Amino acid sequence: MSVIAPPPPTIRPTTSSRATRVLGVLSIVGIVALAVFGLFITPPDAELGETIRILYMHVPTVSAAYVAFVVTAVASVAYLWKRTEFWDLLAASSAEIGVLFFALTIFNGMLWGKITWGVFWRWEPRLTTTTVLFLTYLGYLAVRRIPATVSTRATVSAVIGILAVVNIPITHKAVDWWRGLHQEKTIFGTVDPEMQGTQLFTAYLGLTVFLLLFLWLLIHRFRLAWLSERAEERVLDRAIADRRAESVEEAP
Amino acid sequence: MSTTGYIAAAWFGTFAAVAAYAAWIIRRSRRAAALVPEEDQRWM
Amino acid sequence: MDVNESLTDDPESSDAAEIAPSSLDLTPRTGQHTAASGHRSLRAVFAIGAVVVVVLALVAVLFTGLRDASTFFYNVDEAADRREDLAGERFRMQGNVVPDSVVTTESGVSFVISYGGAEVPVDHVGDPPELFGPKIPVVLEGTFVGNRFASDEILIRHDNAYDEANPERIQEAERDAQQGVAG
Repeated sequence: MSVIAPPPPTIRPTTSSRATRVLGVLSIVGIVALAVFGLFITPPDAELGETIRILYMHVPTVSAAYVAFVVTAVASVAYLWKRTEFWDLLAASSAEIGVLFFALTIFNGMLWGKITWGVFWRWEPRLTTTTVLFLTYLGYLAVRRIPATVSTRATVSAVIGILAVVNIPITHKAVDWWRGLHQEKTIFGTVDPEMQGTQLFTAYLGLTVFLLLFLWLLIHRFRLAWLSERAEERVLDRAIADRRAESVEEAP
Repeated sequence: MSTTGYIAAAWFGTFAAVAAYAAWIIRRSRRAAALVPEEDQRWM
Repeated sequence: MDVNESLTDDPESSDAAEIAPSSLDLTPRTGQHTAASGHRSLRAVFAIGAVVVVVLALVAVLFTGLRDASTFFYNVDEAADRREDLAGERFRMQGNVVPDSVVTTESGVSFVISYGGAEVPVDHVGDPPELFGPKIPVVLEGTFVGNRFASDEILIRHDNAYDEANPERIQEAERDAQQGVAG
């Protein structure tokens, strides 16, 4: 008989540290400030009207998602080079947060499309390439869940993590390469001198807030991945030890 | 739904999803951490 | 085996599912230990199933989506040139609504759409979207019926061409926006 000790009574969050607490506070303050600016202080856009307020969510989420996917690609390269668990788990953690942010980008974009274009969705180039990008990273996460040895899983997913990043420039340039419904450059894509001061400020505030949120979630998610690996090892070690103990008992 | 409704849905939906994801991480971390000795949790 | 208790007290926990100690394979392993302990076969079925679904979806999107990516719409002048080829075919046509051409009809609106020097009269069935109006760049979905275009969907386009093509509209909108704030 073996018993894994019951968890010690603990109330502290298990993946936090001083750094994450600082990041967390900054993120929350940032979110509140973003809501005040994005929803109340900024004037409606000359061209987009009130709907620009949806873009204050749409643009920073996609930027953060792209950053997340680039982190995955860089960590994947680093894994293939260094072959350490750190880079593999970093790539996986970043991809998961990227998928979350990218899903939110699509969600916000659909709402915006409904009130400006008149429809939630059309299979136009930007939206089609976006779907391809999204599915690729869902595939990356699904592949990681196929049972395999640690090194096989890490190597296969690193290769996918590197190949998948090619989707980003394709999706980004889709509006220039093909005709579609999506505007060619998002209003925040270039610093438009005509854009009013508070609108520009809110756009950059949104970007900052979502990058902070990304970093905050990434550290927690990485530590969770690391803990899960340790926990699995321990469960496995226990099982092997138990099995050995049983065979010793059974022996005459 | 009015434009205001769409804007509210976008903002609320976005932050609700992030909050739910954060809560999910914390929950899973607590379970995993219970199985792992403190010396393996180097960031504490 | 009390191993189970401390882990599976919350069956909804994803960790309980991931580690699944109740189904731990206790036979000695000979190879390298795996990333996934637990009920490997079931987990593998789900994971591989998910990968297959994603790959099939990718193939479907690539085939249906990118096939006509280059011709999401024809401009009015191109559509007018290709009128015979496009006869009876459903396609999208892009252009600007000609001012003073919009007439409300029993079933929707009629108007003229122009682009690149060509004009095509349009009969639209259904309510036009809120932002529809003179000079607005639109993408219509429908078919040629004789010389007229029968549309059943009006999509409003938003792009930089809008600024360049209609500078006076921006000023109007800015004025409206400022009035909106002041009011």
